[in-house]
Amino acid sequence: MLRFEKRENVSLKLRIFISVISVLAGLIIGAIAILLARINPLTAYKSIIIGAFGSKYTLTETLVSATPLILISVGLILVFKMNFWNIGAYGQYIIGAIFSSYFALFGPPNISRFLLLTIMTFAGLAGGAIWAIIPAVLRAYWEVNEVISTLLLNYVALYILKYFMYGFWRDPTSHGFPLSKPFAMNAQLPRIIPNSRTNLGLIFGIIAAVIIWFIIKKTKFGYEIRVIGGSKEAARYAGINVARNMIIAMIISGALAGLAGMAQLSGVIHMLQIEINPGYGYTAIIVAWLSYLDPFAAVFVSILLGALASGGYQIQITMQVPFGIVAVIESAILFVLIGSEVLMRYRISFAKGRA
Amino acid sequence: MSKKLRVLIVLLLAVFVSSIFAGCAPKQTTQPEEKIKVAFIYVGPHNDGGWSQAHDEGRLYLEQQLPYVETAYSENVPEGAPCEKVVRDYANQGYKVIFTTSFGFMDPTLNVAKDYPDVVFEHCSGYKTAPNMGTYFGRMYQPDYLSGLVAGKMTKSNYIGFVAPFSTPEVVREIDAFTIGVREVNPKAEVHVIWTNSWFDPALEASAADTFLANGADIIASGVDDPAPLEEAEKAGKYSLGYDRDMASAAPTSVLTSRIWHWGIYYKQVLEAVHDGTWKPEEYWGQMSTGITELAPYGPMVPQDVRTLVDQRKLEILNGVYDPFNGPIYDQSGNLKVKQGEQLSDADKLTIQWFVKGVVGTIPKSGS
Repeated sequence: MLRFEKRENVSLKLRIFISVISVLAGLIIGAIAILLARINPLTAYKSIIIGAFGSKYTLTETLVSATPLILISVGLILVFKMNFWNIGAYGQYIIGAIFSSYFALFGPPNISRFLLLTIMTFAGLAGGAIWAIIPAVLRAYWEVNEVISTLLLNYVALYILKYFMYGFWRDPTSHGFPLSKPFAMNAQLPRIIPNSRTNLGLIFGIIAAVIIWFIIKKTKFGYEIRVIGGSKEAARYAGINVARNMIIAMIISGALAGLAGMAQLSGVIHMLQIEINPGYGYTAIIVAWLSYLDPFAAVFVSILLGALASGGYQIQITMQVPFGIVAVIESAILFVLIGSEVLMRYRISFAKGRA
Repeated sequence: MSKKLRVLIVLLLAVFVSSIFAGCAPKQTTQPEEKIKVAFIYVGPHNDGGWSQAHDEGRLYLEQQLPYVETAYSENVPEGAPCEKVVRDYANQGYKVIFTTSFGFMDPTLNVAKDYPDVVFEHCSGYKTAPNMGTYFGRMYQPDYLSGLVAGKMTKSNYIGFVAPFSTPEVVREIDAFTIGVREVNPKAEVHVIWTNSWFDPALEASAADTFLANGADIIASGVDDPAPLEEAEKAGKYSLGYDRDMASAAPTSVLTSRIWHWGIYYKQVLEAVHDGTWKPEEYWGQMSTGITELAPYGPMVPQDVRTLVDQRKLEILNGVYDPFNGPIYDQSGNLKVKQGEQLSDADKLTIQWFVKGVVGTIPKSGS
């Protein structure tokens, strides 16, 4: 029988050791898939790195991929700290995108860019927050399992988006295709690196990381959240209002996911459509986890996962690797990294008898 | 915590990078002459058995025909933000001509075209152009109409199911032309439509086909990117009509014929123009007579009299004396849309958003 024994303190040395081993294991599994496609895995991996960091262009594209991950993951960190499992960033992102799109599509046409973008930013925050309040309240007052409620609300959000896109937000000149009108220039976030798609959303993400770090480390609210995460009973005993803190934390977490939706539409896609969210909400969970719930680490992990995605697109081009192989490499690395978490948190031994 | 993590990340990267560069001697590939690099973006897999594969066959034809061309493709590219990234990546990598082969790639292609004025962009099935971006399509409605004649003759239950992706004018036009063909030889037959709202979703397409079959359809026509609906018809022992490529091999006892694309003809034409420096953006909409669209060989179950009838009409279309959208044409509710002796204009064909009489189904409304 396998026996799992919880580790009390994980030394940095062990952490590095396990992470290195697991990345290598992921790379080896990926290499097998690449070999099956009759391509030299070393060349493929080299191309991923070059494709993610090799030039100014690819570097800026990596930052574009990382931006929504940063915004969502730092928000998730806040609620994960209190053991509230928000799986609903996907839906909060969509609702934030819909809210901000309303002003981009139907706002007064001659409004200044600064004002419109400010309104859209707050609309995105509000949309995500509203979508996050629902499961938070359900959990806080009726003990409804938030994993289930946030996950299911993702589908509701997607169908709301479809309702708008197949209905009255569809551009009449789109010939029946589910696309909104393109956003006008004054609804587009400015680019922060010339001749690239890297936009103000990245700055939003970094500011969000600083704020979340500050909240967790320097405020009473952050302290209470950590206490709740340690033990809800202890927190109640200490007179902490668990329900209130839970709802506030979820509002912040959802708002940041909504802001990610706004930033992606306004900064990159420039129109509302159904395929605005290739799973950022789920990837961000991995980011939060891999960064040990540290907001600054999350920024770096987001960039690394952004690089993996961005470089993955590049090797399709430079090496003509089939799409499936790229997905296998990415998932192999992520899977092993996540799996290594078990090793990190538990000591595993073989034992006879009952486990 | 964050500091430790940073150390860890740097370490990981170092291991990662060094393991790659070790044992990887720089390899120099020498090229005798500078080839024109051409990229293709597909919405589905390159071997989807339909739409994307038809484009990929066009790509291979192009490579084989023109020695000065070098091609690459990306497959399974979603019609959202990722598409723009892929197109941009190609433009940035020195690709000189980029073909984007799905309707939803239109705006992303346009966005990239603005930033790369020296690259030629060609978008399939859309309507937006730029000084360095053209659009291209073929008059598939002509083979659609011909296959409608076959279906009208072959149906016994007078219930034909059409598995359709999006209600874009392209697809509405297909269904209309098909139905015009069906009703010309069989005024009692009806063409029922189910939208899958996806170009490539074999599971959903199969269940749409099953719904038709359960309701009494004896012919399934497909307007989606792969042969899934045809395979369902084959299992049920019913007939079907393929799309994009000759789909007879996917459902040999079921496929009456297929409406097929030969994109290579156009790709060659574009690349020759680029090579000669005569390329200009245009809105290309090739006639069946150019060979860009075609009706595949008939299945063995199609009797000689049907073949003779259809071949006769085909000849008239190829010679330009007949068009499926010649009047009189009535819409679903019986209003006369095209008068006797007139023809629906190209502009109206390209934006058509109404069904002809004989279609059972609705086109979702666009708003605002």
